Amino acid sequence: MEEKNIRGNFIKKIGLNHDPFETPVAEQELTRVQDRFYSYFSVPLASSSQEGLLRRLRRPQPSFVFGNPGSGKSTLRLTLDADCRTVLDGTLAINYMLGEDIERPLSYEEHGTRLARALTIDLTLAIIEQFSPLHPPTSNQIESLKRQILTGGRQLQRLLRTLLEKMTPPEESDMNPVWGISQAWKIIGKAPTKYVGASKELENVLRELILPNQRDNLSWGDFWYGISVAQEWGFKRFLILADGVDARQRTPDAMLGLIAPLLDIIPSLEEKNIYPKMFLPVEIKSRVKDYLETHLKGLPFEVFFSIMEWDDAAMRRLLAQRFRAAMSGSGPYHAGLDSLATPNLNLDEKLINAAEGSPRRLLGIVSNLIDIHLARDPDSIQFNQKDWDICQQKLEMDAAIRSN
Amino acid sequence: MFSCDDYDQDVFVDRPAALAKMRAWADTAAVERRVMPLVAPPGGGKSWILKNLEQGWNSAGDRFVVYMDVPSLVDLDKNGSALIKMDGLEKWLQEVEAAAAQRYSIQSISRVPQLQAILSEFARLICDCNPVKDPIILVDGYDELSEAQAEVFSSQILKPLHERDCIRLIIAHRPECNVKGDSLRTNQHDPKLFLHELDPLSPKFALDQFKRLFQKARPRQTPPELSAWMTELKHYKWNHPLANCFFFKLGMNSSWAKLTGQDLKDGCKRIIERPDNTGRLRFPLHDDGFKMLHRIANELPDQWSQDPFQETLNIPNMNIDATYQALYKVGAIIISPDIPPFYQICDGLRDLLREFELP
Repeated sequence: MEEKNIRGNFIKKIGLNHDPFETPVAEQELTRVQDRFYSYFSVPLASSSQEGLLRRLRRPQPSFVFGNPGSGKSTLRLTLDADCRTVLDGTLAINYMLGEDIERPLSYEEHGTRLARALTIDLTLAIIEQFSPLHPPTSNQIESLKRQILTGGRQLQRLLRTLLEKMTPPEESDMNPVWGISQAWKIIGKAPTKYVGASKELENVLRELILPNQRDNLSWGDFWYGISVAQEWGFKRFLILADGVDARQRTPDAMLGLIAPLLDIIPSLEEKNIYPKMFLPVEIKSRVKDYLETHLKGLPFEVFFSIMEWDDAAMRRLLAQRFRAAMSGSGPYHAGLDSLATPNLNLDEKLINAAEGSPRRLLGIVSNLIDIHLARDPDSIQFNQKDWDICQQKLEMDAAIRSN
Repeated sequence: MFSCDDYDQDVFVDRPAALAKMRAWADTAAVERRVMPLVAPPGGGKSWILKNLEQGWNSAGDRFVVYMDVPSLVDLDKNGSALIKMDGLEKWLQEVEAAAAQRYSIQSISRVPQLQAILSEFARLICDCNPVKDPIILVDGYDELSEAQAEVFSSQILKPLHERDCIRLIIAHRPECNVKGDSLRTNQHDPKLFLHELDPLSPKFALDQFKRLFQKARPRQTPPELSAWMTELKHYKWNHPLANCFFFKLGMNSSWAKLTGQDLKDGCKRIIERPDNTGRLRFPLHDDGFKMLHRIANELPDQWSQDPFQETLNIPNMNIDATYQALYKVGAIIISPDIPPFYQICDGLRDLLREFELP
């Protein structure tokens, strides 16, 4: 607790309102900082085309983004999801996490089960976020959603009940003025992206969706039905954002085996305006390309491939954006740690070199450096050569342990 | 005579590079990023550029353009949901709906308590009409909001208008002000449009400005020759539109008496604090802040880095010094985008501060 206070005091002294280096793993960070998460986003070096990466990923085409662990794949996925939720063109992003609970490659049917639930959650969220009291839903829309909501799971039901509690009575003045009721999205592990207001019309819809008897035996049929429900609600295009392929197994065979059933159905998905956007480990890049060419008999459609790469300039921007996002107010912001270091230490250059092109590694090293500095001199806000020397020794020791 | 704050087409001095860039961006059929930041220090001409763009596009008639004066829509003394002035917003909405109805076949929007729903609906109706040229909303005065206010304003007003992909925003703000709202930030044009870099102002600009102001105030008289009067100032390069206007007005009223130290101090304060037409200071600066600013201008070079600054002013840490921080808040100090960054007082203001001494 005391260590946390020392670090907290340091963060305040350097003019920040929260610690932007505490958790460099995207999903954990999303849970920790919630509504500030998207303010961290910084653009990596796009390896292909002049068009921005986000715009390219929104195109109606299968897309594969490859990167090493900690290269920002999940952050990009989450930012793409947020973009789909805030720049509206009839696209529904379905976040499909292949997480640590998966012990072996999934069958085609198992993918269907998991996708059905993922679709229901993201569809419900999108409907609430885009709800307008000027256009209350039709009875057909409500009935179809009620049937689909049975596949959403207990967490989604908990969210809906929480929203109703917040909305009764619907006093706008009590609402968070930036997010409204969407502050509750943390219940389903999401961060808010826009203000969502309360209204009697929305309250009426939510009441219809409180259905305790959730179904567990889901199938592809539920997924396809969910797509038709989404179309009924005005969505025209669907992006499946697949991530977490390397959460458990890291052999190329295991990772490819996990996603192969999805790769096989890319053509049939595309017929229904459904496009996979896969965020994958770089180890399977050529395997995926080969698989597509072999099993889909020469890609009949345009596929977008990209690699997450960070050059020094991109890493510096990332660092600057972290500081900027955590600033207490307008004023000078630290573009990096050089402004907090003794002259000529060139700390930022050292940090970026040590990070070896990995944003997660960079943020982790910065976090460690802060701890090292505070252990040496908790009252000072200036890093010095000694801090860096200790940090560098630790990095070398860690590298030696890893290679053994 | 004339106002240095209210836009007047007769006294607008051309900013050719900035206007050309804005128009080119507006005319590009499909842009990746639909938010254009228009950045300049205080009194640098942002509002004037926006008004000129509005006038030009309205005259051409081929684009729907809307001007949004942020301070008229908010109560700057309030926070949270109380920030938005519903009567101000309703008035703006009615004007905008009426203008839109002349161009598009759209119905007026029912008024519901959720103003975001109304604004979202407006954006949807416009975009469903498939306008040939993307409508543009010109957002002025955004930097008068505090950080917390800007979060609310972006969330409740700007984001709903931005969420359909046919509408673009041009948001004018000072260099140290950040546009809040992540979807607005990630959709910002990069690089930002820095007015003072595109059309760096010159004595020729100042003379052109003066001639137009004089003709407005005294249309039957010939403008006097000003070179001698202007060159009495040794440091100031007549490169700040608002300062120029202020001093030209003083000069006309005093028959071109030499500008005194008090005149110059008043000019500096005017540039920074920008009283509105009720006398309210939009960006108040405490005396301590003004004194520090004067010291910085006179004891440091044009650009400085952290260590010389802290040593010269005997400040342990510039990043947490409240007086120094206040200078950012009022837009008097800007950071260069270099890494490591340099700091400077905005052009024009720095040179004016070197023209007089403080007791």
